[in-house]
Amino acid sequence: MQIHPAFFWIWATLIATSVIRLDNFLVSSAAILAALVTVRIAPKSLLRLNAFRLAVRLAAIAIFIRISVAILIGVPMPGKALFTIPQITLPEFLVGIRLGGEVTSQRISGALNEALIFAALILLFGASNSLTTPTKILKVIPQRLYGVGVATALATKLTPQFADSVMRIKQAQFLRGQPARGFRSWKRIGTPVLEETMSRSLDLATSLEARGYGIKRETTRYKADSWRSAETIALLPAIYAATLLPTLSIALFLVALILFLSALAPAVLR
Amino acid sequence: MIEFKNVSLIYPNSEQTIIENLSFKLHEGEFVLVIGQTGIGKSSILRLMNGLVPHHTGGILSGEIEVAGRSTRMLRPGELSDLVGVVPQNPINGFVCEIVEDEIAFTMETLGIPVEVMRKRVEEVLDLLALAPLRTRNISSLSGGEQQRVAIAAALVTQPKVLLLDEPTSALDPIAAEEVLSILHRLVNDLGLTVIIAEHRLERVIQFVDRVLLINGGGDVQLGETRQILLTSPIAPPLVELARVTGFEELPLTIREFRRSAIEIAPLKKSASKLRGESLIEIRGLSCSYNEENSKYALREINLEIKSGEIVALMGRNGAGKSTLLKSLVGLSPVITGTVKVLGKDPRAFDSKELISAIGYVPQEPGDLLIEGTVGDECRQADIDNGVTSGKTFEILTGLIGTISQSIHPRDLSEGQKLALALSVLLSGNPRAIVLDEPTRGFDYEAKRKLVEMLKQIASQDRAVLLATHDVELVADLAERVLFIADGELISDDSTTNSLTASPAFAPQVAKAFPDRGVLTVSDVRKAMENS
Repeated sequence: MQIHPAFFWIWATLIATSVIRLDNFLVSSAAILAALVTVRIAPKSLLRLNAFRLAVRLAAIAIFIRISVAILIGVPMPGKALFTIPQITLPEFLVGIRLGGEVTSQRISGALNEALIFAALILLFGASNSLTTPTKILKVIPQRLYGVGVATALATKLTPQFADSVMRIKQAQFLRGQPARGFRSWKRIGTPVLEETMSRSLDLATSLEARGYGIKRETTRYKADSWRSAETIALLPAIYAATLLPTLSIALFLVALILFLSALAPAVLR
Repeated sequence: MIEFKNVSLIYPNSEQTIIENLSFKLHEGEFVLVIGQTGIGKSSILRLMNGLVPHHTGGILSGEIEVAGRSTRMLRPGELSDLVGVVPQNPINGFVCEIVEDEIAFTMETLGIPVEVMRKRVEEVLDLLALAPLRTRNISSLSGGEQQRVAIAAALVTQPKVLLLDEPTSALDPIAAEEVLSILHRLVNDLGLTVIIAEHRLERVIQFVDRVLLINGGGDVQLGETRQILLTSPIAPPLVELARVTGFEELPLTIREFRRSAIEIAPLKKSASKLRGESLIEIRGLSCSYNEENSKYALREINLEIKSGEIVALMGRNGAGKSTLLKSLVGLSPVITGTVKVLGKDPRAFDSKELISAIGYVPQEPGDLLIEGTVGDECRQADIDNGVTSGKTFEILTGLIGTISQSIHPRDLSEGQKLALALSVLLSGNPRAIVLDEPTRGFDYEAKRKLVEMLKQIASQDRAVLLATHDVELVADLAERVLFIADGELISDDSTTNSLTASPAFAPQVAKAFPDRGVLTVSDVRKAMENS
């Protein structure tokens, strides 16, 4: 049985809502775990692993940048000093900003909390993207939004091909005796890759045009994706988490647990 | 069915008219072939027939085009999609869905055809094109021929009266091409479909078509019966060239028609091949695999030696392992066991300097090698990269294809010129071996003839040339030795004459016309006739 193409997007949006609203590292961590587990247990046929790997990388970069910034730059904050790095004296007009100096536990924990929220959002939507067949999204978009539909089709179809083109052209440049590193190599690879992507976009747009895309307002579906009650049930924990007003730390723990369980739901749907 | 009335077409930013005052009529149930040199406007004519030109591409159109009484002037291409089905030049770029069934149903979905009708029609075309076993497969996992059939199915599912195909066999091996063309032939006969096809390899299609539309350029267009057009056409398949040499009352279009004439020639004794130079490429016991776990080999136990001065063709079906073998020569294949030696050294150990002076590799898309905005800049960059005197690369280029303007953008070159530019860039590094992967896609006969000259010239400079190709006529003209590869194994390594006459699917037309005479090309026949 097919999972509805919109399911993972709604699931991700709901959990993201709770992550932002609750602003708690336990919830963010639970959401990250939920995203990872969902991808891990998803049926292989559904998953585009490369797309998710990219999301994981992005999330790691987000955490890294946020923590580094917290250590290097910041306003003096009270709290227990963990360690001190050399401070650089800044000009007078930059009052209140400091480079280096004392790093307090509060600064780190605050930054970590924010970083986890970023990472959770990236991973949640990364997971839903990699678990949804791109062309199915095209069919969810109404045809009267012709431009949006064509743009979606181009983006979803060409992104994975883009990675292949880069690989192939990198190889070709290597064969021309050019190392595939450094800024100069990007110009060498960029030009042919962009040209190829352009011509492929034109081909696909031509095909959509020739096949009557956007002509009729009413379209039909060859194999309709139905939203079953199973989908709604699988969403319940996420709905609960998104609407809950937590007051006690126990409630937060509960939310974390629920988020984790909601990740298992897609597997139940199978 | 299709009527052009005084049609002229000019593209924006162009000074030359593509079509001038063109009038013709195509009838229902006709199989029409559009021929002409590369870039002369074959695709434009096809695209005019469903309004993609000028609605989608831009351009100024005068005159009137009617398809089944409907004018393309007022209708968007999509509004004609129930009447005209299109199979684009690179079907893979035009696919919207991932699964075969979904792709076939897509046009009907956009047209809002009821589900019950849709289901029935999908089943019909799946059967018609023998795609039923593949219905749930991912399109990207299909072979080229299968993808071509999916594209045809997707075009036929709206039950159009006209089917347009732009070079449907250019990426296919001979067997897959035969399959696609015989399906088209059946559709014309069984369904009364009007099929219009643009194709360079006339030897593959000429026997099936009723009429030919020959585009000479400069607005000069001829439409007529196949025989009548081919009698004077500058573009002709080897069989027609052969008939022109041997003399004929009625032009033969099939091998059977030719053989009826009962012309015979004396067997041609080919002079023993010249002494070869030193060994450049040596492969011993090479096995490659992209997936070690399931132990499926892309190449298995290959042994091979290629010497300088040789031109060797590598043939086999799509996916047999040709590209993997070529890539192993530049160290880009996943070697499991065995050794590859180029100039006595493992190519994986080459640094970039050694690589360019040992072997030049032209990928399937020669454009991958090109980066600059003009031909002149490209050549200058290659001079710098390869550390040769300024102007050397351009000199090589003009040596290959004659004079050419330095200010042209590489993208605006013809396929043949683009390949020549990529070859020049590599040759300025003075490599001992040149390797080409499917060099003749989209080439017309003239471009192929020039390529043959180019590669022969390159080989005569004490270099080795190895090319993977599906084009038997090219191999007959060019190579002295043919390697056949099937399912990763080298199944034959023999002289071109022996190799190409062994299997009818891979035999050139001349060899079929004169079996057991040792002739492969029209010039072979000329020689044989002079001898007798």
